Amino acid sequence: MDLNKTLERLIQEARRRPVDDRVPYAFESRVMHAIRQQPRADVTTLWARGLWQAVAPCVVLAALAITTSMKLQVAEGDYAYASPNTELTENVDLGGSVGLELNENSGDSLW
Amino acid sequence: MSLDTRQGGSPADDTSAVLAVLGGDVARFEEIVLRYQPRMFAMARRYARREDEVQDIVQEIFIKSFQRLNTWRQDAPFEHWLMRIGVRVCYDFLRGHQRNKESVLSDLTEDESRWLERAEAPGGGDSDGIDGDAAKSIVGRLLEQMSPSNRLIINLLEIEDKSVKEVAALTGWSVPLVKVRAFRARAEMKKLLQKLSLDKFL
Repeated sequence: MDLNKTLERLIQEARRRPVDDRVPYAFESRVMHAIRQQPRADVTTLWARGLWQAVAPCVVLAALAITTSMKLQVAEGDYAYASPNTELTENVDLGGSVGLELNENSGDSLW
Repeated sequence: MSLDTRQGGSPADDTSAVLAVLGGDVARFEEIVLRYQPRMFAMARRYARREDEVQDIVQEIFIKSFQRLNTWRQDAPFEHWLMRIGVRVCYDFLRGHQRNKESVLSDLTEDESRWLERAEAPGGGDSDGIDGDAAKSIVGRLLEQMSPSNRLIINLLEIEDKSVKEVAALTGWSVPLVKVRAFRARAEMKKLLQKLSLDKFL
């Protein structure tokens, strides 16, 4: 017995049979009734759902804020650890740029 | 049960109805139900024999599609999106209703036995319309014995004649997975057919 051939013919026959797409009378009414019976979320549930959905974006924002804040602190830290006797003085060079430099030998205390 | 097969409508009608439903006009969903229920019934009847089960499957498809309507991205046709939900509901039904495999492959009808004998005869006569129902019935018996994933693949790939890519899109499986499952499904079907043919002579 050639199983492959028999199987192929069985499938061809199944393909050839017309599809039964009949619909029971007023089936759409049954579906719409079932849909309307579905429990609706109240305001509290919707609010809670919204809060949960906001968790991931908030975590990302918080992480960004923390990272940025730490970077700024590191940058400021170069100045923050300077001696209390330090004062900032203007430094004008002939090139026209104005900068600030630390003068650790100043006798005046900032504190 | 009376016949009611209203169809028609365009993609623009689908979009308009969906937007209206999402805007709060739930009654417009009935248009979508009317338009697609024949196709859903045709699909569900491939996976369930009892009419009450078929109706439950179709109702479930529409309820799920209503609940997930806001996930439809308008870049793909609504019909494809709905069919994907339909296939998944049918697959879930198969997984939840696996029958006792020993009971169904017994008691072939006279027509079914005759069809198999004719098919097995040397030179095997061409099947004709008279025995077409018997062939379909034999296929139904074989499919009921198969695992849900194999049965789904055979229905979509072989009987509905969809391409591998279409099956992958409908099921959410990758193309290689569809091919592997198709190979296994054919092997399982062949094994069951052999068993059926041997049992016939016992």
